[in-house]
Amino acid sequence: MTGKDQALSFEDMSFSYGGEMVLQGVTFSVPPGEFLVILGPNGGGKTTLLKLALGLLSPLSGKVSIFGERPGTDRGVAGYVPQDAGRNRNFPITVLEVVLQGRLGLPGRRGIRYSGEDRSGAMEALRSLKMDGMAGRSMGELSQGQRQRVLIARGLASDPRVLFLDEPLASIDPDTRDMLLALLGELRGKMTVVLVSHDMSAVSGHATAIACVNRKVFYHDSAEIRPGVMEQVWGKCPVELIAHGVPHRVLAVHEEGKCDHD
Amino acid sequence: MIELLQFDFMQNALWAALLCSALCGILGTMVVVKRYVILAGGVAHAAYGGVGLALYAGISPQAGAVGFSLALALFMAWVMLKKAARADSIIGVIWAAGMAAGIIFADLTPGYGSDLMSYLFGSILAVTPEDLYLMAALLAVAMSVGIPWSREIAAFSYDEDFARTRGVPVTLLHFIVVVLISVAVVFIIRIVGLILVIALLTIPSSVAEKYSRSLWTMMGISCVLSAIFCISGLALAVRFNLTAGATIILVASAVYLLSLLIPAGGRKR
Repeated sequence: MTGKDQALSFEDMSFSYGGEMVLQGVTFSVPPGEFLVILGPNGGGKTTLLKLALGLLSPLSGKVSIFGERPGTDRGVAGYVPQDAGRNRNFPITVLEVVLQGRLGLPGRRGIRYSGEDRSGAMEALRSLKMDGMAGRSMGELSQGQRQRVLIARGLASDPRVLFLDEPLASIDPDTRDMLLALLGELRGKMTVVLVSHDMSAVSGHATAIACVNRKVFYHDSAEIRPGVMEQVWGKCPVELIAHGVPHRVLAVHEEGKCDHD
Repeated sequence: MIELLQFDFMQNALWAALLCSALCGILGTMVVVKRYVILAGGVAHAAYGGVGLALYAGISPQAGAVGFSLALALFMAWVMLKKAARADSIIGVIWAAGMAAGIIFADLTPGYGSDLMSYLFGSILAVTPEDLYLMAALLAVAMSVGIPWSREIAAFSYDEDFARTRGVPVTLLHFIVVVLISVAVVFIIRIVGLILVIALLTIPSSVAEKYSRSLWTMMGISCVLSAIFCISGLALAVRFNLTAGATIILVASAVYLLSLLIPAGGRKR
């Protein structure tokens, strides 16, 4: 299941933080064009899985590849939308400058300033999030939802083939949430989307594949994910999920005895 | 007071104040946005240990301070990268141990107490031309890194993880910035002293951050503010016969307090 025809592929991959196994024996492949939602409890390894796919972390053993190559080999292929922790809120930077960072590392760039092509690429990404009118504003002036839209525009600025998003719907207002969900729907089909979420109800309309992560990864591909069987798939996730209106419901275990709980 | 400028020591002091301001403006901005304040403090106190060690070993105090601080700064930079969760406490120990080592070495080296005192409070009126050349060289190095890599430095400062996904050499930049800050701290200690170096690195940049829309305007405003603080502090110190370093910092602190009252232009809080 490897090779250039898979957008993202893990082969018997394991990862540990300081001796503690975080992910073990992860094997799955995502074909191009899928909308993969990664679900799982806090501390289960969702963000770690994303960082491994981006090349921010290296596996302890096994292999990770994006379109057959090691993550980070081709900077044009992956776009990243990190979780907005708001840590750098007072950082002096404009919206456009943030989005321009998404153009770094693209092949064929010279000079010490961003090129006209970079600027038009960044503006186009901002337009797709209806943020082009705010290009000159300071990041510190924006609301949480607006900041999230800028971060998504930055992830899209390199025109990636795979877009990775870490909890993009966390702590934003309902209007922005609806707008982002509509946008994610538009992205489906144009590129492969890999989205980490703890809230399955929000993304249920878009997902074509689901990965349940809690030290091990249970991957459910598009053949399983059809309207109507969605709930069954979620019912199989061996992890504690937050269902809409039913907080902290513990769902049935995937395969008896095969699931590790700490 | 103007007639004092005909003296070499006063001209040197003025040049030192300007060079020190440029360094503080540029590197202080990095200290503030990257939250390297505790690292700068650790380096400054480690430098004190280096001065003590150099006096004890009979080598140049400046060389001892640079070497000792640089070695510990590289270690601290590594700790921040690899053991981020423990970095604060590890740097805290280095901070205290460096200071203590300086005092013990001074105890063991009779007759050098006054030299160590000058590192505590600074001696802007005793700056030599060699000090000025060293500071100018450091400024040139900082700018030759900063100007060609401005986009990468902005990305690294704003969001390290994202910068890494764009191929920015984050680890290398982290070490380069830490080394530049460490050497600058040691040079600036000569001017305002160990006790006040952190304030001069952080106050101008903290004021500037509020009124800036980019890292580069923040650096520019910091340089100008720092120069105003240094020169007005120096003038007040000479006029009223006060300690120059302490006067500079009190001027800076007063402006910082004022800036808390003046809202940033057009920014929602």
